Amino acid sequence: MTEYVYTRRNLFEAPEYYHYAQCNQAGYLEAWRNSRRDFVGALVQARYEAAGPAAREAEPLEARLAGLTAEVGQAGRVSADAADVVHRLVHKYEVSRRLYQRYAGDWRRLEGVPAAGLQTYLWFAQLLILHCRHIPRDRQKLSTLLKVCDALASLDPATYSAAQSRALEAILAAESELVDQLAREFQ
Amino acid sequence: MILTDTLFLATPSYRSRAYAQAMSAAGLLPARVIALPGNEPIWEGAAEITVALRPGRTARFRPGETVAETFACLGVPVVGAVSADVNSVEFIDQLRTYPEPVLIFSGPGGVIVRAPALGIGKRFLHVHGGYAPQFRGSTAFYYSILDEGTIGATALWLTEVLDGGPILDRRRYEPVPGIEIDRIQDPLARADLLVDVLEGRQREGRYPDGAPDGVDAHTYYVIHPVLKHVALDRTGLLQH
Repeated sequence: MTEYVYTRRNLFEAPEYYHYAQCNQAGYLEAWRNSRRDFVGALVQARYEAAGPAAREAEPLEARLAGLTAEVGQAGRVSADAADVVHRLVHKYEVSRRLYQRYAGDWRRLEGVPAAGLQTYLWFAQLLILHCRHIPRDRQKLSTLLKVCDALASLDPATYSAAQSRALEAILAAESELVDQLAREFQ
Repeated sequence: MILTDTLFLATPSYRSRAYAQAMSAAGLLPARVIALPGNEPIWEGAAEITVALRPGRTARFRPGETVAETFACLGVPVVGAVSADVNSVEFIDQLRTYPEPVLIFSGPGGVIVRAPALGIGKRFLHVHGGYAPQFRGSTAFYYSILDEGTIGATALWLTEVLDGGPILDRRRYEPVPGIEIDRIQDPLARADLLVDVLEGRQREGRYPDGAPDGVDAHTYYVIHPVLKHVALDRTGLLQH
């Protein structure tokens, strides 16, 4: 039986680089969908037990991504600024599987700045989704989105606050739609 | 025919094996092979695979045959590299001891050759698995299958820009249904293009300088397995 193996460990602690993936089994897509469905089920279940989010100040990258996501959503197009931010963060995430709370103006990593929190990855995923919807032939961004979703789905569902849990459920639904759309191109 | 100006740097891989066998079949041999240390991949499939790569070019590939085995009776010396790290001082010092100015590069996947190694007066001939500059980077051929239904190969001189060096030649290939890509089709496509470049060098007496091309350049990162699966489905490579 085909299984989807990429969310079995915490990918924030032990990153996955996907070299020479064995995914040529006919049932692979179904296995991936089942894995996501099981995670969403657990996410919804854990939501009822989740505490409310503790009040905190947004991290700088988190705030910027939230702003860009709102901007792209309202404008219905990907601005040059949003496209540049997505491009830079895709590179950073693909190379190190980490984002940081803040970067220098030229996107260099700053000494001593801590790794970004979960909310930043949730906004990053949402911005990637908007980018993929507006520029569907940019397969690289969809590939990165799938990796970010793997990482988010590799955590204990109880990690997420109720608001984050709902956001992640919507992200995984959108991810599934984008994959379906791609698969339909070749049917 | 020994190419007296050419070294072959080979890590244990199917790509190195495809290069060695293609060079042997074309009768265009490097002056020596530098073998990087590492574990040889174990092949458990058919001993020989025949692939019609393009009109007029059919490749016969023995995936289980190592580079050393291919060159054993052809008079090409195989020497061991002092380090698996092509950017190490020890390896660079070793390279300096050889007079050949051109090095066919078949190093480990994902390794970027840095300035100190690129600056020793030798040119690194690399065949990238993608049609550059539109498809630079890792697993670029899976992205090109999704975008245009082809796999590509580009022969270029290595520079510090990933797959961005001067281009010697490039070609698109139609994927062959039923032949796996990672271990067979991609190595054979690259080897096919490599032989074209070597034949050109043989005709002209020198390697071309190549031409830079950065128009519409896109750099890709390792494709996610779900997208790879869709690409494999498109080329009829799923196991039912």
